[in-house]
Amino acid sequence: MVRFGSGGPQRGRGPMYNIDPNYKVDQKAILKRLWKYLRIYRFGLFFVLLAVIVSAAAMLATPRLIQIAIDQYIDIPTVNMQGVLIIFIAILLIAILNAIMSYIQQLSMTIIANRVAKDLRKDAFDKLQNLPVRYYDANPHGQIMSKLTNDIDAINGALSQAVPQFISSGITIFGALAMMFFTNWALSLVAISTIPIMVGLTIFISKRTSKFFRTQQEKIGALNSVVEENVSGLKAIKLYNQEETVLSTFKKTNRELRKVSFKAQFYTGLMMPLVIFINNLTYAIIVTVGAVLNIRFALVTIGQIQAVVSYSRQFNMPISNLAQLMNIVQAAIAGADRVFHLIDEKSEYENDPISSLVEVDGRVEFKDVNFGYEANKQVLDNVTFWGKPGQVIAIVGPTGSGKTTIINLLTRYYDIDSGDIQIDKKSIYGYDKKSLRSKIGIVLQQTYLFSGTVLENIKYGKEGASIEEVIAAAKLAHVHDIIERLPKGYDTKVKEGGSNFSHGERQLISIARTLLANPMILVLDEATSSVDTRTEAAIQKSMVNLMKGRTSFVIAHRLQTIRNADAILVVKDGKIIERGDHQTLLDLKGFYYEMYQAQFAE
Amino acid sequence: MIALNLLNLYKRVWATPGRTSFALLLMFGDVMIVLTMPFVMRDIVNIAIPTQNLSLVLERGIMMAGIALLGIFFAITNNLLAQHISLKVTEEIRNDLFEKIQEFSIKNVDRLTTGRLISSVTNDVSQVQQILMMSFRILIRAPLLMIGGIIMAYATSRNLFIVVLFAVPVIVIFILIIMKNALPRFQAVQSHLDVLNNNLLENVSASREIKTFVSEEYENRRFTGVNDEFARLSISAGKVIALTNPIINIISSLTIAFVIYYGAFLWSKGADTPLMGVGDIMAFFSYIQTILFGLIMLAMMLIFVSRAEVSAKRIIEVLTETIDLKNCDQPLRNFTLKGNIEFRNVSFGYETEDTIKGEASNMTLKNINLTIREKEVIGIIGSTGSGKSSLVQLIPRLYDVNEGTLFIDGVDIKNYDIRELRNQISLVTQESILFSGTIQSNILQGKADATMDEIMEASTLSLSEEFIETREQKYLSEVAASGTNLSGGQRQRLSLARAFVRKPAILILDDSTSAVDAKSEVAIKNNIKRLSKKTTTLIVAQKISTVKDLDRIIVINNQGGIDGFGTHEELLKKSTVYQEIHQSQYGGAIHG
Repeated sequence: MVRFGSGGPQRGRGPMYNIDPNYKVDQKAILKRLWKYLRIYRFGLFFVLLAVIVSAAAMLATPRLIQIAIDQYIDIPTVNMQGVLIIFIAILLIAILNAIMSYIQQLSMTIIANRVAKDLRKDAFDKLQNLPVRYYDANPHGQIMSKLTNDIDAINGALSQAVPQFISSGITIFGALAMMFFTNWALSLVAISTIPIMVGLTIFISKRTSKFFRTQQEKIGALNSVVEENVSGLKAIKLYNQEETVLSTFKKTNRELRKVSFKAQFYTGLMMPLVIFINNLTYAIIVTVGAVLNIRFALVTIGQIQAVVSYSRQFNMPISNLAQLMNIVQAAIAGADRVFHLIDEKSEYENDPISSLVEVDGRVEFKDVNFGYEANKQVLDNVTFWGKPGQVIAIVGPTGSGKTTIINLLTRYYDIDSGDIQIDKKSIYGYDKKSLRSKIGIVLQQTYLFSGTVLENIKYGKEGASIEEVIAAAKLAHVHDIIERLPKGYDTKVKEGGSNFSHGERQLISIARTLLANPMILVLDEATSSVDTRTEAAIQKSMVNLMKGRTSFVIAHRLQTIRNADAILVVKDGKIIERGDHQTLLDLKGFYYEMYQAQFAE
Repeated sequence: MIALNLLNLYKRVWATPGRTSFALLLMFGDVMIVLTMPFVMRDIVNIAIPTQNLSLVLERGIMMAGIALLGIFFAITNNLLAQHISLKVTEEIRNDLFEKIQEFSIKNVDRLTTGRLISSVTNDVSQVQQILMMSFRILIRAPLLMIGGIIMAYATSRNLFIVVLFAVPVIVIFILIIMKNALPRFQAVQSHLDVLNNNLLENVSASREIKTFVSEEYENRRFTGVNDEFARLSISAGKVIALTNPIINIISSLTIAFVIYYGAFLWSKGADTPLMGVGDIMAFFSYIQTILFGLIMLAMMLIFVSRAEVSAKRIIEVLTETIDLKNCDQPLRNFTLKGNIEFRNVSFGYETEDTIKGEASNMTLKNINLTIREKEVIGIIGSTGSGKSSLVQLIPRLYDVNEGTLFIDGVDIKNYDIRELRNQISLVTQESILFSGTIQSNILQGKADATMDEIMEASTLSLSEEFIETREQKYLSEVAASGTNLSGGQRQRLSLARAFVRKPAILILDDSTSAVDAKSEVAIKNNIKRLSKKTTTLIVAQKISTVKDLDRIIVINNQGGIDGFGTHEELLKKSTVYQEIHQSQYGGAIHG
């Protein structure tokens, strides 16, 4: 689905997702990188570790205590109730200690996981601010958003559930092993015989399924996109009864999501039964062998069998828990992969020059500029022109001739192929982008208003502007009266994208915003086309005042509006074919003359 | 507190009762296997070892292995089924959600916000899905384990069983208290997710503005606020959940401790006539551990259930949202519009946050009374924000009137079937909205069964032909998602072609030639004049020159009312607003 247009690349939608079938998820690298984020909280992690150790010790002590109880106090001629009482109290105390530790552990982990998610989100957002406009034109917005929401959410979930499990599993396993061997080494050997099999299985399965998880995350992002685009194109969908078409796109993506999710989850889900099976098998073997050892060789006691079985359960439980977690962990790795891709994108400020554009008189010059958005499609061909401070330069021409492109190049949203663009005789490529852009005020063909009040929207032009300054700008833009007529005036809330204002009102607010920013170079891109000519005339009058001393480029094809310009550039097919003031061009009796006649030929 | 909304969504698993029942059966089998294991083990300890019966040991050992094998079969098949069912249900919920969103009117969408719709379709459904999967494993397993464990425990030792009787309800009560506390916190997290989504949406949509105003720092600060708050809310919910394990651990340990003590006590009492063997105590422990294991699983799951319940509620909210704009009970179908339009006492306004649902505090249009006859060509003019677009958008029912009635051919438009109504009206909006595909597919949206001749005719009329013919693929040229191949003017012309191909009864052009150069604009206007011989045409314009020679002109004033409705000459005499506009465009003398 495509949105509304201006010349050149659109606020656009690239392909829904990019999946290279040969793409391999580098799990190790991703885990290493995630660790870098976790590292910051290593103090907290250490705390968690401590809590887990104590917890695990407590957990392990209990079977031992039970064993002691059975072997020494119960399974004897006269039951030793006092001994049992001691065991009772011991178990209780350990339980309380365990509980406290468990709470600390879980709480710390939740905090760490959420902070890591927050950090990741911040880094991703920071990067978003530095990406060139091109990135936003080429990538579906829903996908971009999904990386900061769904993908990071997956990481969060995995961290808070998996990390503590990993740590506690590690310790439990280690501790259980130790206790087991201490109890009865012979039986223990039997118990651990199956571990290598389980580990090997886990690695094998996770490698195979990683690409399914990656695709799963992509599809979720794609769903995000469909919903977002549906809402933004709502009017057209309704007017042209496209509901069915859009719905079937959604259903298709949804179905694909289900299929890949099934593959991902099923293979990972195999781990659980396999692990349980191996557990049960081990359990069977231990008891059988244990019984044999007891009967034939009196190498083990019943209590020891019970203990080893208990420990075996203790260390098999974490392993099967880990198997259960694989789904979550895999999804998190896939999510992290996508987030890191975003963070690794090249910033548009990467090779930015250091010098700032500070004082600007405003002489703008294009020298032999050649440019095309794509390799073989030239849009601007040897374009040369200049504007002196205080001049109003009008750029006219048929649609698609390259007018909007000129703005894109001046603001360095895109860079020229050859030639140069200069401000005050110095190349704009020698200055950092931000200082350059702050000196140029642009009113675009489509305007986007932010959610917030009308006041905040206008203030966007200059942070920290006083309300007097805001009102002054609004008056200049002739929108003050319109705003005052609103129920809450300047405090009226702007809905998403400005949908509660008319097209023309949005442009006026946007003009006010730009006026407040007070730039030395002004570019108006067909901005006033949706404003009625009455208001337009009024704006123009005040603009004359504003434009004193500034260089202004007005890109329009309303010949009426640029009749009073100091110079007019006529652009056709990427070339400037005529230039001069209105009367000079009329006298030429060329293209401009024809266009002018057409306007008033009715 | 009882997960009503969640259960509501879960009902869907019964859509395939056969499969679901089978899955449950497999679960059951899986659990039975877990339960029989200790039994078999007990025999070894109780019978085989004391009697030194090696063959019995081996026999039982092999039996255990066999049971384990059966177990894996049950588990894998169950996994297969459970995953399939839960993923299918998830898919279905998402489809239902999106279908519902398609029915939403513009007002519905504005009320809920895009961020909320996105969150609900992806995130909320994911939450529900995770629980669904977990549920299949746990919700069946845990109670079965518990019941089985309880039965076996009771059978093993009625006396020791009393301990269990105390432990279980205590744990359940604690869990319910935790859930009650957690629910509002989870709600806060999900609501804030909407805020996060909306914030992100703004940022990605407004990349150019942000760069123009060099406001990256500002945006960063805004986002940090939202981000930090999200983390804070998440942690707050996490604090409550963190209580679960500790509480259960204490109660379970207490239970085990009691079992040992009481068991020892009973054993000591029954020294002469053994109440039970040591093997019994061991088996009992297994059963206790099974019961507690089941309880722990249940407890953890119930916590996640709280989170899913919040999501389920949000999903159902969207699914049950009243559609603002829909067909009446018996809509008229199979009609052909002639194009007579009448506005009778029509008032209309947009909702803002401060208005009560359905009302608008500040009406954009007030008390409009107009009659337009079929095949008339009407101009609509007025200053910015006066309500021109709003007026025309009422005709294809993009919005409904707040007061009054809008008639087409003498029938209240609310009585027409919406789809068929829209099919006979073409509205070209100020901002062209095109869809990815080809030039042809875009034009076909206007009329799905248009012939190539009709398509070409529409292109000619909209002056699209010239740029289409210069392309290699002509009508099959891609309209790409990034649209580099179409400039603003081309998109407008393509939108016009789409509107023309329909040959609608009513054609509305809302300032739709703003990006088209003057020469082409005139040509298009002439073409429209030709078309309009069979169509009621409304043209919203800025320039007097555009509307000057139309049949009649509607002039809207700043208060949302009609300042005049008549021919150019009549308005020049009677309408002050028209006079003002004329003055600003022609400056000075009034021309005829």
